[in-house]
Amino acid sequence: MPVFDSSTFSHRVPAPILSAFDTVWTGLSCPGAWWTGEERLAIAEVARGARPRLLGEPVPPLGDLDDQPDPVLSPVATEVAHRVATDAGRITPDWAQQAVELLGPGRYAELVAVIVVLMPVDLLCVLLERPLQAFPKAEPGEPSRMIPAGLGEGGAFVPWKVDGWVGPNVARALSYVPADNKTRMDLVASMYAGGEDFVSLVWEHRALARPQVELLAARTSALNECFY
Amino acid sequence: MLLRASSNATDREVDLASAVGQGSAVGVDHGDLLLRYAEIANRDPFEASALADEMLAAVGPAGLVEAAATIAIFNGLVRSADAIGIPLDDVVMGSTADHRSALGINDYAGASQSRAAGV
Repeated sequence: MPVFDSSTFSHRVPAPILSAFDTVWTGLSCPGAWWTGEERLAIAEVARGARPRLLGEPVPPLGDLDDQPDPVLSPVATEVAHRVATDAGRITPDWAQQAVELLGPGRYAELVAVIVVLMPVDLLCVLLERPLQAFPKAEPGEPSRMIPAGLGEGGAFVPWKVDGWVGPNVARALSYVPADNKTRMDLVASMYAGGEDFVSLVWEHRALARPQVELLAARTSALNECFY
Repeated sequence: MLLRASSNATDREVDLASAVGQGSAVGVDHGDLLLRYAEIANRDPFEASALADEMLAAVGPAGLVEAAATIAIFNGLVRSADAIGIPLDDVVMGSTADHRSALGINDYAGASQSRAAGV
């Protein structure tokens, strides 16, 4: 049974977005490649509850934090999730390198993946005056710990798809966790553009013209101080 | 880059500085309203409904939903980019050099990844 119903939003939400949201929600509670369902939900809880630190509020160095579960996520994982959710624009290579060393590239990539699909769902709910969806119950099972073939170093903080890669870097950002990356890119296609819409610079079949959408996208990127 | 390219494709010229909070969004229909909506939706999303009536009058309910969806998904995309440290694609790096410098975008923390990658 679908979780996200258009009637619960202030205005009609297209079916592809609702379908993509349902896929995100199912995936949050299932074991991934590197975290259990319980751990993925714990990451989501941290991200949803995270608030930006106040000016002058100390930021704990990752090296000072425990890396053992407490009780589900370790303090290191909790701090990384908080940073990605609230202040990703100021992540430095040194900080990221330490986070990847402490968590491992798979767990780091999957932690990011959970957050970057949760936040668009939560934000659209808020903007269209829908209560945030309660998290599902965790599904049992262990992570697959599968490292995909064809990964290599390519200038990002974690290895990503290099063999035969054609496309923008943002589309392979989370290729270390391909199932989560597919969920993310399907969400992008439903909420922004995919396929022919993405390559076409003139949209005549949508409510907003392409420059209107790109203005919103560019302003959002700038407000988050995103270089990419 | 896509803001400029899509504007050029319809023979309009947009002030790119509007995307970084300078100038005004001439060249984009309802551009200034869309910028105000983006500002409030990003900074204080629970207050964004204050602009709902204005948005509905300007772009209709489907336009409001598209605007909200765009802002929402880009809040995921920017975190993907910054948390994974992805360098700018070669073609974009070359074609946006002048604008990035003029708009101060090269000062963002994420720029170091593109410089390190030699893009």
